[in-house]
Amino acid sequence: MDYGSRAVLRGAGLCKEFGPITAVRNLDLELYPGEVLGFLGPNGSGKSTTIGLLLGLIAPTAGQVELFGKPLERCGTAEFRRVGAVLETQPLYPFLSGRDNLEVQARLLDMDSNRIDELLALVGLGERAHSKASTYSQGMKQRLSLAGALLPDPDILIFDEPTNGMDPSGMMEVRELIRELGKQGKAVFLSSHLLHEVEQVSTRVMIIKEGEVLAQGRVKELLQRGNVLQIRVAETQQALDIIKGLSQVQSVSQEGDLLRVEVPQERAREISAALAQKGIFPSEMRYVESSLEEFFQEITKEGEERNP
Amino acid sequence: MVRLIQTEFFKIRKRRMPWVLLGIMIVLMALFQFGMYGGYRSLESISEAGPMQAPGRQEALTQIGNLLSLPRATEGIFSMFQSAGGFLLVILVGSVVGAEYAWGTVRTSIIRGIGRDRYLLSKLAALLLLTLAGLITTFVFGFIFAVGTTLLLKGSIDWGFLGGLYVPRVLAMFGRTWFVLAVPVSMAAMVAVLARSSAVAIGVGIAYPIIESIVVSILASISGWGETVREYSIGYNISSVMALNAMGERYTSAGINLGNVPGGLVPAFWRTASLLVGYGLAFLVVAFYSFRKRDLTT
Repeated sequence: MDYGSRAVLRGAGLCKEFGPITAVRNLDLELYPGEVLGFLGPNGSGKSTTIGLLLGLIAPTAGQVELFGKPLERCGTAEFRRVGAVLETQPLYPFLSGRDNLEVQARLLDMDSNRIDELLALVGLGERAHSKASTYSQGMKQRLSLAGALLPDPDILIFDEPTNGMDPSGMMEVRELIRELGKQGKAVFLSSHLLHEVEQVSTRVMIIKEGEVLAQGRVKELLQRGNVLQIRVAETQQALDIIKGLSQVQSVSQEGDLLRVEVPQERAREISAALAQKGIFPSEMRYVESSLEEFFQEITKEGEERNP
Repeated sequence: MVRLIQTEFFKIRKRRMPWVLLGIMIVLMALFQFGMYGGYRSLESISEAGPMQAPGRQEALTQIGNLLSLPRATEGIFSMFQSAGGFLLVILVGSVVGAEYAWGTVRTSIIRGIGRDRYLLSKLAALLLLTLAGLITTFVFGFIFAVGTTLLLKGSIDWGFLGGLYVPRVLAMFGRTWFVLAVPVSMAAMVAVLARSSAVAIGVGIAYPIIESIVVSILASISGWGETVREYSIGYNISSVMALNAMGERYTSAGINLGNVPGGLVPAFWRTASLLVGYGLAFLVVAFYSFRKRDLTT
């Protein structure tokens, strides 16, 4: 990941209103070469609208998108052939074979079709290359869309639910491919509702709800925010007062005899010592690492409380 | 742009629909010509069977006989393609433009950065070229059928008509027929873009000429201004241009009198052509403006 380099895709102050509904609200986004940006949000949170804005399919009500430093409306084939996208709806010509679908894409990109067979083999469709797309299963259609996105060997890849309809092994292959693309220095934008998928492959995540960014940052940093030290003690009120007085404690909550302390892991020893000094000896003390799923639940709940 | 048009052809020729529509057109052409020949023989046998001679019967037989024989049979080929072929073309245009929304493929094309204007323009150019290709193919079949009906009627063909003005006139017929068909093509494309649907485009494209002819006929029969409305209608002006395909017409500055167009007098070509160009351009402006401005959410 090279945050020092220039963002290849940038959205600044993006807003999109559909009549009275605001689908995207003042969204800022930057995508850098070599990173996999996970884009998370509940259904109807504005993920697909954001992708539409980034790809020039939807005109923003306000704000601007820049592709390789150039305003999107001034970009042409030269810039767009450096972008590959897998859209959620798997747009394919049902009457064409898998190979011919890619042939159409190659013609639109004004490029030779010599990569087609290689890509069909890569996504596991080599044997069905000449079958009509209408006969493909959901997972096969998704694989074909993936091959279409990779056709111009793009620098930016935008994936909207790329593992939709795939079997578990297919999902694993796609995740591995996404990771590999990031390692190759490509900028990957991954929108998915599969939180573990995003957690596994993303270097950075952005969480949106009702068109607004609730949280963003490197996965490790975000997860640290959700990591808690769980302490089970008999003298809860006394322990609570002691812990609150310690440095770097971000929050303490109580559930029965269980205290949940949001604090960096390296401070656990200090807490233990402070409690022991006052004669409090916990029956259980363990550091619980948060998953992206838990973090997501927490952050979206917070968002709900903020905007009921 | 050439590559985009070629891509459209690549997609269209791989579909079954255009070939089925062309097959239907050829079958309709055969039915039209041989059906008319059957009618001619029936009319002839009625008079042979009985002593009664219907008034104007001989005149009708002569007229039908002329229309079934080359060179005049050529008129019928173009007339048939414009009328029946027009409906089939609307189905093709509606499907080619509208189905891309249903499949979502319009979005994959746009994100390749080809530009919305170029995308729509390439589609329209391909469809107009395809119209011409369909017209040529239908003409070839229609001509072969006309050779058949001529031989059935007269036993032989005097190929002398191929000299003189026949070829330039046929070329002019190609031009006129292609030109008038551009209007329903652009209308169907506009509706497909506005409705983002092939079904609506096909429905409107087929229903429009029928509804227009009924409405303008009613208006023309009830008031004077209704006649003016009719003169500005698409159907009337298409008929006016197609009437010029009649062989043996005489051009005058006021128009030509053929008797087979409502009102009898066909307006001068340039007036009808200008009106049709105006309609076609208006449809295209709406289509391009809408396609450029609207979000592609599906």
